[in-house]
Amino acid sequence: MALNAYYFLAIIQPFIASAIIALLPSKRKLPGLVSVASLFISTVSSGLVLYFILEKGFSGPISFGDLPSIGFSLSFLYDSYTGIMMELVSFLSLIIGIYSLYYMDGDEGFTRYFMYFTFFVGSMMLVVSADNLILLFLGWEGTGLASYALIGHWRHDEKERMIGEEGRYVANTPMFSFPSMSGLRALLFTRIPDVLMLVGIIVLYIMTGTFSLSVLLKSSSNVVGILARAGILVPVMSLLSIGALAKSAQFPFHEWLVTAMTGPTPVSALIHAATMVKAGVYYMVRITPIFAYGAKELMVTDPILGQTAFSQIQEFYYVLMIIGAITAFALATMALVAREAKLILAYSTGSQLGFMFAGIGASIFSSHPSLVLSFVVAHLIAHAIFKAGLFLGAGIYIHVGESRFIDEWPNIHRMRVTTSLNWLLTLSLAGLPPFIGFWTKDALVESYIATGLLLPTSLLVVTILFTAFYSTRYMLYTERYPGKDGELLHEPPAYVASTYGLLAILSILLGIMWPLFGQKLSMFVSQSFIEVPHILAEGETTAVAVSLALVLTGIALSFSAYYLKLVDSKGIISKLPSLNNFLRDRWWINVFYYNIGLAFLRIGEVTYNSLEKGLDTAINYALPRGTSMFSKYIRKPLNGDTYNYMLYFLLSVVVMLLILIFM
Amino acid sequence: MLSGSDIGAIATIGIPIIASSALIIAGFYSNLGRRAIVLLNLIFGIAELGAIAFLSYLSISGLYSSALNGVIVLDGFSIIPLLIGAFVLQIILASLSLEGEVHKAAIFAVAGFSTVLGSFLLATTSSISLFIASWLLLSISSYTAVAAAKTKSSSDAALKYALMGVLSTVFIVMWLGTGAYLAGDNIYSANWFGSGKLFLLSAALLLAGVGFKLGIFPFHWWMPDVYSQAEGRAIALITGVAKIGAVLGFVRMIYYTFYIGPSAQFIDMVAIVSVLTMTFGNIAALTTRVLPRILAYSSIAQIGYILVGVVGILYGASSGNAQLIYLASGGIAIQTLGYSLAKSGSFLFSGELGSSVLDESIKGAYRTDALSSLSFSIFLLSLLGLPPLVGFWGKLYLFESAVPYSLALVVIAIINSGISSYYYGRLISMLFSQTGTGKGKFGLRVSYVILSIVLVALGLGLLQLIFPYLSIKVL
Repeated sequence: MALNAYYFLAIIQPFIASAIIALLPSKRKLPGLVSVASLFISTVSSGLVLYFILEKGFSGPISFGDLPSIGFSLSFLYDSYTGIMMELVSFLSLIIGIYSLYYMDGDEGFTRYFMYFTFFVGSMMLVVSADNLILLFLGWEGTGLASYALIGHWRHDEKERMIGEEGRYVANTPMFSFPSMSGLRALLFTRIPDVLMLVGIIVLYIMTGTFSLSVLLKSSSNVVGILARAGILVPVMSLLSIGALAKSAQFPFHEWLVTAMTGPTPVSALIHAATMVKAGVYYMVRITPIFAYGAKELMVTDPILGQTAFSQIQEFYYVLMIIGAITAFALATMALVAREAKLILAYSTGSQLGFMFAGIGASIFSSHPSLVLSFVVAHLIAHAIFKAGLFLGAGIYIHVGESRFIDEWPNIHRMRVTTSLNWLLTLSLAGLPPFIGFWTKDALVESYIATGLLLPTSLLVVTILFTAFYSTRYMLYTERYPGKDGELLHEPPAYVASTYGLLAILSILLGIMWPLFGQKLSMFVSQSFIEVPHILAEGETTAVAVSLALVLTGIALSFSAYYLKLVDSKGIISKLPSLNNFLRDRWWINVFYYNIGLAFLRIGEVTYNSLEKGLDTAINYALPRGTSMFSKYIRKPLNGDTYNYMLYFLLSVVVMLLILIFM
Repeated sequence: MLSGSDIGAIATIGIPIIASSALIIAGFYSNLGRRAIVLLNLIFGIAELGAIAFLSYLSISGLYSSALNGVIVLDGFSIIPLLIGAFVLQIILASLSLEGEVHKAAIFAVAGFSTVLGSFLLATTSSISLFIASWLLLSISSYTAVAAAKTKSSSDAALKYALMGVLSTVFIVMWLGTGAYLAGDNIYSANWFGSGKLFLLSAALLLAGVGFKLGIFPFHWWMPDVYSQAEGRAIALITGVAKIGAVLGFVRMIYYTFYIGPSAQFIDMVAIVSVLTMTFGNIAALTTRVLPRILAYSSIAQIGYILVGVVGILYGASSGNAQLIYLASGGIAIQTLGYSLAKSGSFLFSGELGSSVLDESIKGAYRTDALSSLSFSIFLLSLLGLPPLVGFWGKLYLFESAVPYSLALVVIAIINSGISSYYYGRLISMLFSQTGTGKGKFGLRVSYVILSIVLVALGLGLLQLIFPYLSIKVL
């Protein structure tokens, strides 16, 4: 059937392309062109899938085959959420792939880059479309592998590939990182949570007998009932969530995202802004309806159990919301003082992801969880678009400014086209209407306020102020403090500028369309989770007013500091050195982790040495020597003296007889 | 009226006697020379081989289970290893064609025939007094064989051997005295009286007396010295022919003794002794550097493995498990014949290099005489227990039979086999070493090759064919 073919072309084909690319020579950008072609095919196929869904509606998963004995099946979800995600991932990958043709031109690892790039896209497509949790996990790990390889792409660790401040140590911890180290950090920080996630998936399988997301959603009340009865509802939810938290760089797993900026900028754009870090959000949005609606249904069928289950779930999601809020707040504060362009954007990504997780947490407290989840998805899409664009722009600036530090750049406003496009993206991030970033963030804020939970909501609301400030600071900094004098700065070629240009235009276009089509989009997406009644709560005008006020305040502050030059930001910083260092050193979390890691290494060293030396001595020294000595010892009586022999003989007989008598 | 088995038995007993007389006449009272000795050896040896083969045919086909009024027991357990023993005797006597002196050759040949006679009687007899008499015959032939070379070291060795042998014979007679009140002098119709403890003591005395010859742990002191000082050919005779009779006769006696007075403590004692013997033999061999001494310690260890099989038989007897007895006695028979083939070849090999030679003398032998080196390796590998050689099968059945008694014993036995791989492996690697020169071609190459071919052929399949017939005749 045509649908099967589209799925194959969209999801499996990138893997094949990746294998082909591995064999290609680097001549004339051939690997890159093949990759872009593959991504184009993927985008078109995903678009066709989406078209099918829009026209004909959607149904159960599409299966290509299965292995029932281990519960694995090659089946893909076929619903609006997956359709949108597939199109988003492939479209952004295509755009960024085109950008990479320019950015990675001349790089010695050109082929390797595109091989991993395409492999990544295949894995990510797998994650957003898989019905079988094992298949999802396979894609999950595939993205991790590609991420590791791409973060550490410049594997010779040249000095200019570093992130962080060179030579700066805080309490024995290096506050800088090289590509190979960063790749390893990314892998390590996500590995253990991934294993726990696998444990959670398997426990879920053992309890419910299925790996299939669609089956789990359909029989959600059973699932919740089984887990609640066994008393392991919260543990299983925790295990399932922890992988997502790590993948989406939530506190306290956010550290890897920061050092991941050693990768090439398109990689940062694709993996660490637009897609891979969103995998955690996607996954949480997939499994939340199971618990939310499962508990609600259970309360009807089995009130006592259902009530306990529901309150447990609420507590758990409250924690999730808190984590999201803390992440959003903490990373935003770090972005306030960051000097490296990509770090500002990385903190911003983590912060926005925190908003999304808080939204997921808040969904449980709403009467229409799937609606809130659809707002999360909307913000996911919006953020992916403008953050990818911002990273692509940052790549241009870093190239032109020949530095990763914004205080070493010339005044970027001399690049008219690029900077104007970037401003569109920045204002979307800041949350100014009519950009899409405003609408989606606002929808989320409404949901937060609707929960009535004071702590996370206040943190998130304050973060809006910070977001507006640091995003505009990023653009305006060089206006006030240009690092060097620039003549006319050359714009990149048209096909490159068009990539982030397209994204900028999308930001504004979607923003304009939102009041008209926003509701329809939300309902379309939320249909994937459960049927939603056609009533929509009225927007809380207070929420809109508050968030708008904060955004404008933030923008105003940064304008006054960097454009109007009314406030001396550098002077303020010099008066608060400890606060500045605290934020600059990422709240000293890295210091903490590094020292813990060192401690573990030391314990490992000690154990290993003692075991190794002990075993080595025992086996290679003590045992042979001992046996030799014993051997020589027992041969001593055989000295040739016959009378001795006869004596021993007689004695032996006597001894034997005595033993037998008394035995 | 004489039955077929009687004729066979009389032939088997008579031929060595006639042979010995003929050899003495030819050697000392005529001028016929060495060739005559060799010829006589050949004729009488083949005759003896034929007689035993006839008896084995009778036994395997089930026609007769005894001869001479039940004094001789015909079961595959004894007869088939004896057949191998007679074959080995031929090989050893053939080596006399290299011996210069007629007198020495004659004496050695006489000793050889007496040994095979003694061995035959010891292994097959059911009569206590005949057991003791043939024990004496066997012992004296052994001393004679060792002394025949008339060198200083041989004479020393023979004296040592004889002194300790006499001591052990005393204990065997004491066994008779303490253990039996004979109404019929035949263990198959035995009316053995006595309380349990007395049986225990008498069995212990049997163990001590025979243990001397076999090399069981607290009674083995003479073995390394005698085996290294004597001529290789003499020790080949002892290990290749005499040991068969000693081992098999001992097993038969202990088995029947046990039937009369079954005692769990005795099984434990045998097990402990077996462990001590194995471990002593293997560990002592690790640091020895004199080739015949290594082989002597290896013999001690081998007897330890056979004792494991004895544990199996005794345990089977005590628990009424006929299958176990079948398995264990088969294992003992295989191990004995494998040991006979391998050890006789090894000692002939070692004897050609000299007496008390260091193991380094075999270094690089492969380069000058590949066939002999390969054969020697096969002997050692069979002793080690490498499949598919005979030694492997023997050990397999022996250890298997002891499992119901105690898994720990089997584990210790297996570990010991593992330990033994060190010194066997060392010797083999020396043969194929790049440094060192060989001593030229070995005189007895053909014998080595024949012995190794027999070992391989038996291991590869012939044994499986004859295994069902190898069990001891059950009481």
